[in-house]
Amino acid sequence: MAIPSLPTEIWLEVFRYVDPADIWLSLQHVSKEFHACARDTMQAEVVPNFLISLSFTLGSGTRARWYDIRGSITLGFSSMSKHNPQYALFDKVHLLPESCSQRAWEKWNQICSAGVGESLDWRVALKDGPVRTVKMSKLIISHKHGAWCDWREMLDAYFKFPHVPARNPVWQRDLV
Amino acid sequence: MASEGEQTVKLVSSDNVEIVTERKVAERSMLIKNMIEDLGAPGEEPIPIMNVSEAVLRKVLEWCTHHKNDPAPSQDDDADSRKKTTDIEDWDQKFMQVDQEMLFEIILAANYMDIKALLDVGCKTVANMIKGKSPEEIRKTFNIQNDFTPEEEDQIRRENEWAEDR
Repeated sequence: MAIPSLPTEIWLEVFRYVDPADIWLSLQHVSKEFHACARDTMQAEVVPNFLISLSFTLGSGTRARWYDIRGSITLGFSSMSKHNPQYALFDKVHLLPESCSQRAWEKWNQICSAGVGESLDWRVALKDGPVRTVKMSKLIISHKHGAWCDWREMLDAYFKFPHVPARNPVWQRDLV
Repeated sequence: MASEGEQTVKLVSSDNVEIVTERKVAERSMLIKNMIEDLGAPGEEPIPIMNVSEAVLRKVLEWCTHHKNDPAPSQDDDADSRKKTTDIEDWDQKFMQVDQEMLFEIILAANYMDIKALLDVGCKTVANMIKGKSPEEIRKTFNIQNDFTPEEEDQIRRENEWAEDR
C-alpha cells in the first residue's frame, strides 16, 4: 500500500513546528508545493519576528571628550507591502541610548538623507535567535524613515552566513 | 439510563467495522461530539467515520482513551503561531513510533475527526523528522517528487552551494 500524501493544509501546520532555518535552508528547496508553503510561513509567521538594527557614532558633542558616543536605531516589523509583497516595512523605532535619543534620531535622519548604501552592516535578530551582522543591498528607506526590507534577501543573509555575535542583543520585546 | 460518563457509542469505520467505545473517549473528536449532539440519542445510531479504516480508528481511539481526561486547550495555546518541536510527552512519543504510513493516516484521521491535540502531536512528530535534513534527505524520507524544472534546480543548486557541508 502506498504511503498516503498529506494535503497542503497539513504541511502548513507541520511547518509551524519546524525551525525557521530548516524551512529556509531545506524545506523550500524540496518541491514546488513546499516552496510555496515555506514562503507563506516565513512571510506570515517568521518575518514579523525580526528586528533590524544599525549602530552609528553620535559624535562627541560640544563637550570635549576622549571617547565617542555610539547610538543605534532598532526597527521592528510593521507590515508587508501591499504593492510589492517582496518587501516588509520595519518602522517601529527604538533609539539608544535613551538619554541621547533626540541626537540619535537626528543622526538617523542624516543617514537616511545621505542614503544607506549597500555597505552598511545591519544587525539582524530573530526572536529567541542569535544576532547576525549582514548587508542588505536592496533595503530602501521609507518616507517616515523606517526601512523597507527585501525579506528574502534578509532571510538569505541571516540564515546563510556566519554571524558576528553582538555585545548587546538588540531584541526589544515591545517592538513586536 | 446510563450517565453520560458511562454511555457508549458505536462507531463504524470506512471498512464497515463496528467499534464500541466510551462516549467520553469518542468525544475527544469534535466531529463525533457534534454528531452525537445532533443525533440526540447516543449509543443507538451507529456513527459512520467515513474516511478512517478500522486499524487507524482503533489507533486513534487508543490515543483518545489515554487523553480522555485532558483539560480543554486554552486559547493561548492556539494563539502561539510558532511552536516548539520538542514538547511531545513521553507517552505520545511512544504512541507515534509507528511506520510512516500509519503516522500519516493518524494525522489525516485527526484532521478529519477534528482532534486538534492529536493533530498537533502528529505534526510535531513529522517536524522532528525534518529537523537538520537536506532537501534530498527530506524527499527520500517522505517520498516526495522533485518537481522543479532543470532551470529551477540550477538556481537552487547555486543557492545551496554554500550549504553542502551542512
